[in-house]
Amino acid sequence: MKANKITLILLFIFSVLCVNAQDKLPAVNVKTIDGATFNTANINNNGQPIIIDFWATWCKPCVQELTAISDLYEDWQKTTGVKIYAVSIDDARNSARVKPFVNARGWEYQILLDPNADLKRAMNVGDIPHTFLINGKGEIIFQHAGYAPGDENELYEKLLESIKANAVK
Amino acid sequence: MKMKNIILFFYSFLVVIAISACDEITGPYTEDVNVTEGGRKILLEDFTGHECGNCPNGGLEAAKLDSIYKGRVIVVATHCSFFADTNKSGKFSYNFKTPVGDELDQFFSIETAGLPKGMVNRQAKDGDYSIYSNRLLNYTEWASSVAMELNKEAAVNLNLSKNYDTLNRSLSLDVEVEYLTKGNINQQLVVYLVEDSVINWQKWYGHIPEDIPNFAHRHVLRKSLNGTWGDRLSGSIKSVGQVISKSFNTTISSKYNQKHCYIVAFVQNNLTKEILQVEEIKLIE
Amino acid sequence: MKKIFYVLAFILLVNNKITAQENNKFSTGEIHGNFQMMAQNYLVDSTIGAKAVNEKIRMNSFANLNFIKGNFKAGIRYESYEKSLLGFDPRYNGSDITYRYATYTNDDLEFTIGNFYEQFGSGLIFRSYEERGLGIDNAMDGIRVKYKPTNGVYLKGIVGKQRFYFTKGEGIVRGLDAEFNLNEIFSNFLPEFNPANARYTYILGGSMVGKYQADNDPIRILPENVAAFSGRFNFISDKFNFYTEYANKINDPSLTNGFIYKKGEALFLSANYSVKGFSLSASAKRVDNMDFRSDRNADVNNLTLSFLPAISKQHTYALPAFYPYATQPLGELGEQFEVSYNFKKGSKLGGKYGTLVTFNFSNATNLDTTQTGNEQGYSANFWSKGKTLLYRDLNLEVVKKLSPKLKTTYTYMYQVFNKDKVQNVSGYGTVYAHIAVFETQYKISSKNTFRAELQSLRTKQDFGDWAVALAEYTVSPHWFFAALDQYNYGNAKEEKRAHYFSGSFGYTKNATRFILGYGKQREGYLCVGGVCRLIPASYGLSLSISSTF
Repeated sequence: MKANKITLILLFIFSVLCVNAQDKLPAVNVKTIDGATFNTANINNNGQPIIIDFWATWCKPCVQELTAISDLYEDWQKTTGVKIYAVSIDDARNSARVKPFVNARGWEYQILLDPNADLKRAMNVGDIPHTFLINGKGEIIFQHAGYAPGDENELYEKLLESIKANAVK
Repeated sequence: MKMKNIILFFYSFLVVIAISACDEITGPYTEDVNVTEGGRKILLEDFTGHECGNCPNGGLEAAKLDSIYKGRVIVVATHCSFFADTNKSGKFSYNFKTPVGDELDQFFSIETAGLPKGMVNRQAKDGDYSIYSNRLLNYTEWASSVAMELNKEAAVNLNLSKNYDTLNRSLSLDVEVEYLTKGNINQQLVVYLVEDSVINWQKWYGHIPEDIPNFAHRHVLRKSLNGTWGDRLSGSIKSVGQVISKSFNTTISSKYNQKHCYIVAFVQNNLTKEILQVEEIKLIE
Repeated sequence: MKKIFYVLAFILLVNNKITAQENNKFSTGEIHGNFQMMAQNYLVDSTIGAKAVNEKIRMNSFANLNFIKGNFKAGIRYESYEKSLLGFDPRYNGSDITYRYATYTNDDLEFTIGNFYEQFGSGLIFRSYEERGLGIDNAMDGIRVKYKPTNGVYLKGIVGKQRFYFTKGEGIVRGLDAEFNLNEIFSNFLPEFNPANARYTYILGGSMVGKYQADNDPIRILPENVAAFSGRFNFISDKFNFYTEYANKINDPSLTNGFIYKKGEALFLSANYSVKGFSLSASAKRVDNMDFRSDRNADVNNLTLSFLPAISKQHTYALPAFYPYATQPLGELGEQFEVSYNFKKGSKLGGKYGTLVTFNFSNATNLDTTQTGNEQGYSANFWSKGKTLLYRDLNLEVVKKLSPKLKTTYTYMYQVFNKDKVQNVSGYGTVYAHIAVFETQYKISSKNTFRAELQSLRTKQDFGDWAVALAEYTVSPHWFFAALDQYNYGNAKEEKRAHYFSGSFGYTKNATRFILGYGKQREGYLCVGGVCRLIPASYGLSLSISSTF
């Protein structure tokens, strides 16, 4: 049995070698903040960059990060046209709390609810916060786990780089 | 279109099952137990603690099985884990713990699994013996496990005979192990001293008040006459019909009520810890 | 099942080869995954009760591999516990593939074979999920079909068994969930219902879950098929949100309810109102004999079908989370209320940068019950509360930014925690605790930040008073250093007045993190989401590595 399992893993690894990674977003059903079912294949920003940030109301560094970016979001939007999706992985204990939580803080993000971690799993996220940067072609070009104050600057630099790269092409 | 029909069929199947498959029971809630005859006896170990408020439920289940399968289920209550810790004075200051209980606790990870737990002939669930804690059963599983074990054939017979002097409390015990099937090198004989009906404090969530000062603790494991895992039975391969005898001499502590004491002897496979046969004998008939 | 996977793996392989050779003309597949490892060595410290282990070092690790190609997805998880960290169930032992699945999606249809996670509504009667850090994983193994027959109607059907450590539970689980988004359904003929411009949204849902487990008990007559039903309603407007869900279960005698044949039910209500800078929310929950599992003999967090988290606020600082509340599935009445206000920049209380104030109150009691003395066990009065207080939490949090560089948070809370009832222990009684936390964060430069926490917990019960000090220094985007001391200065037993000192540092690069820690960890409950796990005291060196690729 063990040998069979190893074969299976080897098959998987072998298929990796044959694969050209394009890093597209997976299509998973989540909920909008208004309770409607939303397929993540519909995440788009008309050819402009997208940031996806996994967070939860009980996660301090996540809230720190989103608060820090919130102060800069208007500027970022003006210069890069970026759109931020903040995906809350709060489960049934806290998911009803997400909307008031976001509003009290005045965040302007697109909020998605992923109460059973389906999107989190599909994007292979371990611990949160976890941030993805997606370029205008829908490819994941940068990701970051954890948050330390100042990390938003690195994210912004990557964002500017992606715009330049797109412009050159 | 075809696919659609299949899916709709799948869903309606689930609906039908969910609605029709409701076993609402309005009584009776119990059935008549078919008690079979047989040479095999079962050791039911009840791991308990005086400060474990759910543990009397396990004790009740053990008593129920004891009375249904008269004489074929032998109960030993082993007090262990932090639930059996003692206070310096007042309630729960009596020490029920034993070195054997502590060793069993450690070995089978009983404290981690929580109390009450039990073992029926130390049989592993799903037959996976590699994880020792697989033998721990919740008390709701004891009845079905006992019924299953009773249907198996006995591998050995145990004959106990004793000579007990009530004045100086000395016991000499002879144990005969008679092989009904071929035996192997791993089989060991273990002999426990058990005291029934020890009156002391017990916590019970199902009782008002919860702390009961004069609870009758049944089948309390007091000590082992030959260590937690016992003595190896001589000879690497035992043939059918072979009899191996062992003798034990010991003095019963005056702390125990000798009228309530009895000896439990069992043969176990020391690799898998499965118990093949068990027998009991009272000190004073 | 295994054979199917080999076939699928083979198809993947062949497909990949072909597409890879065609110079990217067609979309080729992608493979991604993540990896996590946590290792610790255990040293003895008798004061705090830290124990050594025979293996010296223990390690938990796992890796996920997910393959996506067009409409097709497949993946596996490999888990390894050699041996499992203290606090994890010893049945997590060894290494194996514990999760494998294949999913095909086509427009309105999705089907999965193998393992999957799923939740119906808020999970009152069915939630299959994982919390790896807590050792909780009740993944299903079977078949799932999701289907959207028309706009606004979402159906889910599941059949399978649940994971039980490295094996599967006995019970067969079958379930169906239907959700109706009325706006999407009616938008075709009633334009005012169109989700794009509707002012109100209405969503209805219902589910049923049945389990089958053979009755091998020679004494009792047990129901082999047990079903649970639930219905839910959600009303949403721009500022106002209302959600309710009710669940009901037929007789389900089990280990956890003590073999009673009473029916179970649960009701959850939640409402909130919020505008920018202000929010109000309230919720209530009543749970009565609603511990629903696929195996009637299961205990602790094993083989659960119902998910009944506490509705009280989830705390993240060490001392406020010292006494974490968990729902009592056999009987509880709880309510929760929260108000948040953001004093605007420039206002008197807001100062130059604004001030966010949050007040929260939560309460949980038992049910008002009468013992019936028969197989029903008890009867409960729906409308009245029981006399036993299980948990109460009053807390106030103020977040204030003093300058672009300096930010402070002040928290005060009063907690009442019925330790005996909540943790199912005895002799501890009820704990009354006053807790205060002060946190400050100073940004030295755009990359360097210093953060400190001072926490105090005062109580006459249990372990007595505690104080916690934390200092953390981060250098974005790669480094962090932290030192933590937890001091049990008020323990009634003088020899137990221990310092729990620990230090750690970490390095992060993109989605890869290394954290190395050394020190003492007190015994306590680790909670994620709605579930908690008891972690024994430990002392030693720990290393964790995680990466997403």
